[in-house]
Amino acid sequence: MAQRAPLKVAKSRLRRLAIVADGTLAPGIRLGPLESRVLELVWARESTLSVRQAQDLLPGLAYTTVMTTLDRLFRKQLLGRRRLGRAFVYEPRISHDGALCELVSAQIADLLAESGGRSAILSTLVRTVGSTDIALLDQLDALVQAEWERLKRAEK
Amino acid sequence: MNMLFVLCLVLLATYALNCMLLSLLVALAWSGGLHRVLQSAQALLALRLLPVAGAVVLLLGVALPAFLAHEAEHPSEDVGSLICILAGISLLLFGAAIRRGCVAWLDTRALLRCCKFLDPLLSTGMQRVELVDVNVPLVAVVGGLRQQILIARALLSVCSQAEFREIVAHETAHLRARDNLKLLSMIIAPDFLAWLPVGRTLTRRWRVAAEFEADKRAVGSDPLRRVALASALIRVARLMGRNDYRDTVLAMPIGLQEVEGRVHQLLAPQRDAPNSKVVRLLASGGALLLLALLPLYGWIHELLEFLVHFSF
Repeated sequence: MAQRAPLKVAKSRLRRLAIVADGTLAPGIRLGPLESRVLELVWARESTLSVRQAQDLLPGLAYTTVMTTLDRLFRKQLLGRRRLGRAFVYEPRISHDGALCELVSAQIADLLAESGGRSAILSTLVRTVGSTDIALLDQLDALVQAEWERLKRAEK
Repeated sequence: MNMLFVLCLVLLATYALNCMLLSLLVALAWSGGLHRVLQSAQALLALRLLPVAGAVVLLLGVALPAFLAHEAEHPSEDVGSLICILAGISLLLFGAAIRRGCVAWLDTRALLRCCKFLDPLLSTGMQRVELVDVNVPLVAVVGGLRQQILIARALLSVCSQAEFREIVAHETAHLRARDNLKLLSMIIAPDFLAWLPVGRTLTRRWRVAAEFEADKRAVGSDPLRRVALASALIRVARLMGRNDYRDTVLAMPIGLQEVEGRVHQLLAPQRDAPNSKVVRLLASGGALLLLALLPLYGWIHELLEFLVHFSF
């Protein structure tokens, strides 16, 4: 099983992937440097994180800056939020590995899509399909199942 | 100008001229009806690479010997503008080819790096397969010279053992036929077809034909294996259809027709496409042409002299 990457390395990978990838967790989502830093902080904690607590971990940043960043991550559906007394506390909606997987998968999907018209040197089993014709795939499935049955009867 | 430099200009200009004529010939032949006749991957590959191969053969087999045999000894020679333009076009072709090669290499590396993030794991049977933890239905042979089979781990749970085995067999068939190397040669071919729609069409048709042939090589005439592969194709096609990361992923309408064609071919195999003679015909024609031009070296040299000295 893959070891989780150390926080420092993962942070830069996440940012690089997030800046390059497109339409991953939500269409058009991108993470700025501060957003990815804050997201890593939330993942590193075992419990929820308030704005004040986040600001303590990010010296040199104004309270409003940290608050706005957490709010942006909430609107990008990367963080959940609930009220605790008069303040909001934030918690991750997706795990670190889950987010990395989503970002990487989107990157791969982009490259596979481009490869059909252009360049990456690869041969795929099935190239990306056009507007999904479920009915056609169902028809083909029925043909295949009929052939399975016929072969099983012939074996008997 | 120095004679060695003139020789280089002659070679570059001759390459550009031959490539241009052969590319035009291929484009005309294709739109004139060859697209209805050629179906096999081998024939399509031969046609796609004809301009480059033909230009190199004419250059080394005709132009260079003619030049060396008949060129008088001069310490230097003046050149006209036409040869410089043609030589420039040649350099442009090679530059564009190198650029395409670099882009292909970078894209391939990027794909492999992405997969490495989520750590590949196992091998299956005799053929090493890298299982990758991604949530796109990735099934591919990746790389030109050092090839790897990458399969999304999720397919292990979606496909039966028999279906997965045939998926690996299909990708192994691509590996053994060196299809990625053939694809790379089409990508980096320094010719005019790379800039023309017919070039892209030929490459796309070749890809489709190569898939059909990989299916045949993977499962042979075993009916159970054929059905298993057909079933696997449909499963993967369904997963691909669900991939709605972005609209551009769904930009290959040929994909579904291709799956339909392949499933029909697997369930009811047709005769092989009758194009195996095309390559032999082209090779024989080329050899005959070289022989026919042997006595004409003097005349060819005069042509080259005209090329060297002509200015607008």
